[in-house]
Formats: sequence, structure tokens, C-alpha cells
Amino acid sequence: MQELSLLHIEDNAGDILLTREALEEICPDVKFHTAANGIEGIDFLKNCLVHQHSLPQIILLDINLPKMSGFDVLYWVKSHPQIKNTPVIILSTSSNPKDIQKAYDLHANAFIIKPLEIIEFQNTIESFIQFWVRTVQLPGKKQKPNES
Amino acid sequence: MEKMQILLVEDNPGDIFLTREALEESKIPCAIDVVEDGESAISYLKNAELQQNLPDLVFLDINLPRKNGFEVLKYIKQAKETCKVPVVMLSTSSSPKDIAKCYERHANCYITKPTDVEKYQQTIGTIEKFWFQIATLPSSKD
Repeated sequence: MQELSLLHIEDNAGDILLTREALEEICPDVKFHTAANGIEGIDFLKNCLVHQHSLPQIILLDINLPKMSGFDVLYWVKSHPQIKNTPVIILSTSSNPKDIQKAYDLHANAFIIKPLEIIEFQNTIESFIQFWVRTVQLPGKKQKPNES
Repeated sequence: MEKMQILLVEDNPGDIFLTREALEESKIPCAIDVVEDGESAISYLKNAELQQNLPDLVFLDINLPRKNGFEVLKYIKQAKETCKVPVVMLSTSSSPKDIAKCYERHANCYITKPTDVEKYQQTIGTIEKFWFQIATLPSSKD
């Protein structure tokens, strides 16, 4: 499997731990970056550009974040000429249809409601990997062999 | 359970057959409409919008007669009502330029069609699982 670099913008330490563990179990070589609020997330992305580091291939983004909401981060990412192609997957506890609609309006690539139960959460992350890492062609990557 | 409405925009009869077969085997009941060129896709969507019956998900090829997939994607993502509908690009092209062009036009994801039949069907199964069981669609009524 190709190496994966992911930015998780999330303020809940438990959710970060669960996501990291599930990801590392499936993708041991994952480069897992975290930001605890929206401003940190944007600073991380700006730093990647300033220091000419590779941008993360996928952004996992919560909605309810301190300092700057996930919607504001999403709008910023999708308006930035050098970052807008990066897939942003919303991972939120919200199941409010208004939040879901708003996320898709702002060009979120997908919206996932965080399962509350640990096993289900791990299964969700596993399916997320199966789809976004093993099946989808991400922007800025070389041709992927047809894995399954 | 309400059926998921899928619009498949594809001109290759073999791919239409395989996609339909894989989706019909899915755990989630699906209703699949097929249009075989870009202009028909746009007409279908305009009509669906008028009837407030937009598809839950669009599978879109790039190389299509009349209008290509890029033009259809641009229409979907620029029109106020259709812009939310997730679009899965499904193409034989693995050109980084084509991939980047689709993400620039807000495709939700891009998948290169496997040439092997079994892998093709597995891929459709993975798409179906992610979009219908893991992700929440904008059309969700929860």
C-alpha cells in the first residue's frame, strides 16, 4: 500500500487516539499529523507550503472546534489555490441535516458521522482507509495499481 | 428501506452491465438510471431538479460523447441545487492531469476503473459500502 499522510483536525483527545490507533493498525507507515483547533490546522497547512513540505493527502476534519469552526477551515481549504484539491472528509458527531448539507455545499468530499461505540468507530476508520487509500486516486499521486 | 437513486453516466455497455450487476448485488437497495452521453446527463439532472428528485449519487465517466465528463461535472458542481450531489468519477484514465482536473472541479472522489472484471465488481462494492454505509449523503433524511 502507498504511504499515507493525513492531517486530523480534532479537539477531542480520545477521538484522536482512536483514529490514530485504527489508522496505524491498517497503515503502519501512516504520517499522522494532528491539530487541536481550526487555526492550528490552517497554520499546519500554511507551514507545509512555506517550508515546501508535502501537503497531507487527506484531511479529516471535525466541525465543532475551538477558535475556528470546521466549516471555516473547510471554506479556507477549498478556496486556497494550492490546497483546494486535497480531499476533506468531515468526521463529526453531528447528524444534523443542516450541518451535512452545509458541509457538502462547501465542497467537503464526504461526511461521516462518528460512531459512538469503539468497535464501530474502528470499523468506520477501516472502511474509510479501504475506500480513500486503497480505492480512490488521490490528487498529486502517481498512478496507483488497481488494488482491491 | 428507501431505494438509493444512482445516476450512472457511462457509454460503455460492458461497464454499464458490470456496474449495474455489482450494485444490484449490494445490501442496500438501489435504483439505477443510465444515460450514455454528457448532454443527456445534464438534461436528466435538469429534469430531476424540476421534479425535486435528484439522484443520491452520480457515477461519472470522463470520455463521453456529446459533452465530456468534465463538462458534466462542472454543470453539477456549479448549479445551486445539484452542487451537493456527490459525484464519483469512474474512468479508465489514470492521468494525474485528469485526476487533478476532476478534484479542481469538486469531484467528490476519483476512481480508475480496474480492467479485471472481478476487481471492477469489488471496486463498485467498495464504493457502495463507503457511500451508502459509512458516509452520510446530503440527501440523508436523518
